[in-house]
Amino acid sequence: MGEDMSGYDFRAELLAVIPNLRAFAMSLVGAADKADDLVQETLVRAWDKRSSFTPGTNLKGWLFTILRNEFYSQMRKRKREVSDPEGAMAERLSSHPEQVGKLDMEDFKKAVNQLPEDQREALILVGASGFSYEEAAEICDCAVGTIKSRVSRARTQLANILRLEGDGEYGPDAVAVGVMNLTSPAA
Amino acid sequence: MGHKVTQLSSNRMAQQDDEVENSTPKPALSTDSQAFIGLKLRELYDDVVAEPVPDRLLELLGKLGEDDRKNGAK
Repeated sequence: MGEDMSGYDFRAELLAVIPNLRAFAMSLVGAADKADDLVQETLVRAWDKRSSFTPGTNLKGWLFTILRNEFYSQMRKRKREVSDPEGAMAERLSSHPEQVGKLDMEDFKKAVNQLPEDQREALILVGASGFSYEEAAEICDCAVGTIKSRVSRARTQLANILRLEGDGEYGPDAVAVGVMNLTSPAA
Repeated sequence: MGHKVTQLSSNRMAQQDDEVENSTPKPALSTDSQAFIGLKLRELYDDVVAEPVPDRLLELLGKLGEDDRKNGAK
C-alpha cells in the first residue's frame, strides 16, 4: 500500500523533470526523436530502479546520471557497429527545422555543437541545467576541477568561434579567407 | 639514459596538461562575453524545456503507473 503511494509520487516527480531531461538529451544527441528515445529509455530505467532512489534527495541529478550513462553506453555500442558515427552525428546536429527564423541562435547552436563532447556536456550542466560544479562532477563521474576547466575551456572556445573577443583569428572570416586563397589558383 | 629522457619529457607533458587543466584565470573572458554565452546557452536550453512533453513519453509514464497499479491490485 505504502509502495503504491510512493510509486505514484515518483511518477509525478519523473514527469516534472522530463522537460529538463529532454533539453539535456538534445544537447547530447541533437535530433529531437533521438533525444526522446534517450529520455524514454531513461524513464524506463529510472522506474525499474526507483527503489534505489532516496526520496528527498536530488532526483534531477539522479535522472541526469542515468540518461548520461545510457547515452554513453549507446555511443559505445554504435561505435562498434558503425564506422563513422562522428560524420553521421554532425549531419544530424545541423538540421533543426523548428529553429527557422532564429538565425543568430542557429549560429550559436552550431558553435556549441563544435565543442568537444566533454566540454559541451559540462557547459550545459553548469550553464543551462543549473547544476553546481559539484553536482555536475558527480553526474559526469569526474573531479570538480575537471568540470571547472572543461566549462572554462568551453566558454573560451565558444567566444573564439563566435568571435566575441579580439579580432577573431579563429572566426569564420579567417576560415573563408583561407578557403579563398586555396581555391583561387584553380579558378 | 634514453629511458630517463623519456620519463622527463613525459613529466613535462603531464605538467603542461596540468597547466591547461588549471587555466581558469588565464584567458579570462570579458564579463560581456561570459554574460552573452550564459544568456544564449539558457535560451537554447529553455527553448526545449518549454516544449510540451511529447505524447509518447506521457503514454509511457501512464503505462509505468498502470503496471504498478495492476501489481498492487493482484
